[in-house]
Order: sequence, then C-alpha cells, then structure tokens
Amino acid sequence: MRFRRLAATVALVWLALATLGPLLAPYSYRAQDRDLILHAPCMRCGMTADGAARAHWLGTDDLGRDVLSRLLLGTRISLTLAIAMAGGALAIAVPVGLWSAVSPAVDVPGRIAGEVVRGLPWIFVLLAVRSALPLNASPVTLVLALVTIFAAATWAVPAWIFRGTARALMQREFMAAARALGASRRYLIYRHLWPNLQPLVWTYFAFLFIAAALAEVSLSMIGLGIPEPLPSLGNMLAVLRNPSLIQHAWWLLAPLGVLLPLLTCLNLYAFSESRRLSG
Amino acid sequence: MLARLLPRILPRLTTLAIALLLGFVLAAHAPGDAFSDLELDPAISPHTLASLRARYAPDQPVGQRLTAWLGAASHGDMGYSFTFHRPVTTLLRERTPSTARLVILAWLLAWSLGVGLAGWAVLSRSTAGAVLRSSLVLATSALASLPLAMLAIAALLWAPVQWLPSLLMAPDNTPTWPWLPAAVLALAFLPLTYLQCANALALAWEKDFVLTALSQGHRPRYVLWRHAFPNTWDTLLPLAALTFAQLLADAVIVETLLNWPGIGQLAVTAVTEHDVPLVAGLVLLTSVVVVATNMLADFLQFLSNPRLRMT
Repeated sequence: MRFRRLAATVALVWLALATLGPLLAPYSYRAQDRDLILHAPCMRCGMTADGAARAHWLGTDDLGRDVLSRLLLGTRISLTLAIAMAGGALAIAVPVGLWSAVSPAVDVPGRIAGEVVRGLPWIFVLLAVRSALPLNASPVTLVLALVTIFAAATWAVPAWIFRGTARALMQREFMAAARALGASRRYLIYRHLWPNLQPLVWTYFAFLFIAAALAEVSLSMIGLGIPEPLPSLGNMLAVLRNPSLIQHAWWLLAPLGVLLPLLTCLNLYAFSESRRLSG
Repeated sequence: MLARLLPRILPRLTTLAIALLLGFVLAAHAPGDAFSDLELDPAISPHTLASLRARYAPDQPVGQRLTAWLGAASHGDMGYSFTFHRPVTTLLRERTPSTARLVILAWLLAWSLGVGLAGWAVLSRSTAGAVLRSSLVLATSALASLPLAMLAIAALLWAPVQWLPSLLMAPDNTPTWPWLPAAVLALAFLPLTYLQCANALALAWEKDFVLTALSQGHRPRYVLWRHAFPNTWDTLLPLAALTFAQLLADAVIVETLLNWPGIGQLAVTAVTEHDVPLVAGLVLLTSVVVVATNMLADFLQFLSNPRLRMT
C-alpha cells in the first residue's frame, strides 16, 4: 500500500520527463561533435566556429554525440516502447482472463492456447523473426515486431491469474445475487469483475512494464533492439559491450540512472501489491 | 492416470509443432541465403553457385522443404550448416552440453538460494529487525530492476580474470563448469525465486497443521522443512519449469556477452548468417527441451499432490 503513492509519483515524473525532455534537449540526437569523442561531462568544452560555448552536461559518447540529448529522447522512446509492450500483453490477457471466468466456451481454448504459448522458446522465435526481416528494416517495423512478440509471449501468465481471481469472485454472494437477478455475462464483467480486478491488473502492468524495459536493454545488447541512430536506453548502454569503456567513460552509464529508480519503485509496488492480493 | 495427464500432454505437443513451423518458415523467408556472401567472391563462378544452391537449397515451396527436412531430421540428419561447414546435428551435439551445464547450474543456484533465503525470512520473521527486513525488500527490488546484460558486463569487469569461463577451457577444448555465467544468471533470477518461495512458504506457515506441529513441540526449523515446504511444491513446481525455460532464453544473452560456447551463442550467429537449417534445428531442440521440462514438472506435481491422483 505504502509503495503505491511512491510508484505513482515516480512514474508521473518519469512520464513528464519523457514527454517534455526531448523539447529541452540542447542538441540533436544525431549531431556529432567530432572534436569531442568520449568527452567527460563539462560546462564549457570549447568553442564552436561561431564563438558559442559548447556544453555537454553528461559528456559525449563514442561518436561524439551529446549523451544528455540522447538520454532525453531515449527515455521517451524506451518508456513508450515498454508501455506499448506491456499494454499489448494486457490487451490479450484481460479479455481472455475475464471471459474464461464466465464462459466455458472461452475457458478451454484460452487455457490450451496459454499452455501452448508458455512452452515456446520465445527468444529463438524473436531471433528467427529478426532474421526474416531485412537488415535495413524500419524502426517502426522492428517496434511492431517487438510489441507483437512480447505480447504473444507474456499474456498467458497474467490471463491465468486474472481467471483464477475472477472465478473466486464468481463464488461471492454479490455475484450470485447479480446472476439471480438475470445479469448478462457482459454486465457481470463490466460492472462487477473488472472494477474488482483493477488493482491486480495494475500490478501486472507494472510487472510487464519492468520485464519489457529490461528485455529492451538485453535485446539491444545483442543488437536486436531499436536500431541506431535513434537512441533508446538499451542501445545507449549497448556500447558498454566493450566493458573497458565503463572504466574510462563512466558517464555512459547514465541510462541506468533513468532506468533503475523507476524500475525499483515499480518493483517495490508490484511485489507488495502481489503479496497483499495473493495472501 | 493417463486420462488426467493426456489433456496436459496435447497442448505441449501442439507447442512443439508450432515452434517447428515458426522456426522453419521464418528462417526460410529470410532475405538472402547462406550463399549470398559467395556471390561477392569473384573466384566462385555463377555455375558453381547454382549447383550449390541446387544441391543444398533447392527451389521448392516451403511445405515441401519442411517435409523433406522433417523426414531427414527423424533419422538424425538436420541438414548442413554453411556458416560452420559442419552438419547441424554435430554442432548441436557439441554445443548442447555447455548450455545444459550453464542452465542447470544457474537453475539449481537460483532455486536453492531462493528457497534458503525464503525459509530464513519466514523463520526469523519475529526476531529479525524491521530495518534488516525492509533492506532485504529494497535489495530484492533493486536487483530485479537491473538488466541481465548489465549484470553480465559487471561480472566481466569486476570478476578476476581466472573466473572467466572461456579462459578455463581445458587443453582438449572441453568446457569446464561455467560458475561465473551461472552466477550471473542465478542472480538475475534470485528476486523471482525468492519472492515466489517466500509467498508460498508464508501461506503454508499460516495453515493449521503447522500450528499443530509447533504445539507438539517440534522445532520451527523442522516444521518448516518437513511440513510447510512440501506443501508449497504444488505451486512452485510449475514455476520451476517455467524458470527453466526463461533461463534457457536468457542464456542467449549471457552466452553472447560472456563468450560461453553454447547454443545461445550459436543462435545469434545462425540468425545473422541466415543459416536456415541451423535456426530450424535450434528451435526444434529448445522447444523439445522446454516441452520435456514442463511435462516432467506436470508429472512431479502429479506425484506430489495426492488430490490430482484421486479421480
């Protein structure tokens, strides 16, 4: 309970950062400053040709691009992507979970589909999909592929949990009363099941969001994330595949400064909620 | 018994079929083929190229190629990998033990640590200070927020050089036990296993039979492991199978970053090189492993829960 407000506050601040941040970015995400490759954070890093001072508050990366500007846009791209991935999974999980609680016609196929999906080796499927797309596939295509595969891979577990909780709710007196009064299944879902399930759905949104954000970083590491030159928190960290860069250019770890506080707060919220709701 | 197990086996077999179809069709639709690179080589005549293609990548519909491939695969012949210039079966036979060692070691580490920590947390619930317990919660959440890839890179950076697995290769090129990659994988899964065990144990600890055993004068530790723990298997076994599949997936990242020569590393190469037979072979192998693990978990759950055996 006490983490709900903390998580909501941090999430709102980060969303505001993602919305407004890129507007405040001092440089373009793809502008290169070729004299200042891997330069440490500095307020005055020299002069441009027209005499203005160059400032890189978070230093520059291995191609001389401003880390702060890329971080602001990368935050927007990564958060949007993670929200789309988690939302896509819930868009399947919530209807399947709720309808399988009230209707056996959905229950049996839903359960079989869930079993089938849980057994697939998803990262190998993703690798195969990536190889089927041309090397110069547009970022939009890749994002769509990521969202679809993530949603297809992860909907089964939340749907199963929603179904269990909804079935437990169906045994309660108010549900028996509603059914005795002749309420339709659609009415039961909208009026009774969905409002009661909302805290659980938000908890799973948090879990899925965390999984999606982490997956983006890990996939970028093996070159399967958002393609350069667009920045994302994952592909900004991907240069650290050469670990000696961390020792020489610690400021390249900046994306972790965005990712870790947000995900830790969401984890605290999701863990405490799932414990409260399950026990 | 068969009547109870059959509804569980059928979806697993469907999974297998879908995985196979997906792997093969996707790999077959990939632009370019294993010979695209050879086109750039002026020393190779178009004639040679055409005969190579005719032999190894005949211009047939995907369906026909799939049936031909399945027929051969049933005899243990999964085609020839042009990236590595070896038969796919040989490659998989060489690489599978490395990944098996990595995943099994990580799985054992993550679950034994998770169960142990959760048991300790339940037993010391009344004695441990609030500060210690809330810092454990915070540490778990922070650990669960770290990307696996960053854990691997941190290990690469700060672990002593002797621990790195690729340097531990014996002279005859047989891999040793991958302690460091396994520790990285286990650490990434520890929050999940710890929380699931802690939730399950805390639920079991509230049950009447625990109170009875405690009031009979048994030591709490004995009651926990002898009575409460076996009652969590029903919830934990499917999860244990699920984490095995997830570990297999995450092994791809750890193997690539920490240079452990397993099938995950092979998969990344296969995809970038458009090695269709290798991709299909890998998808088949991994889905067989995942399906087999789930079936084993179903069976163990069946044995551990008498209620499932009743009807």
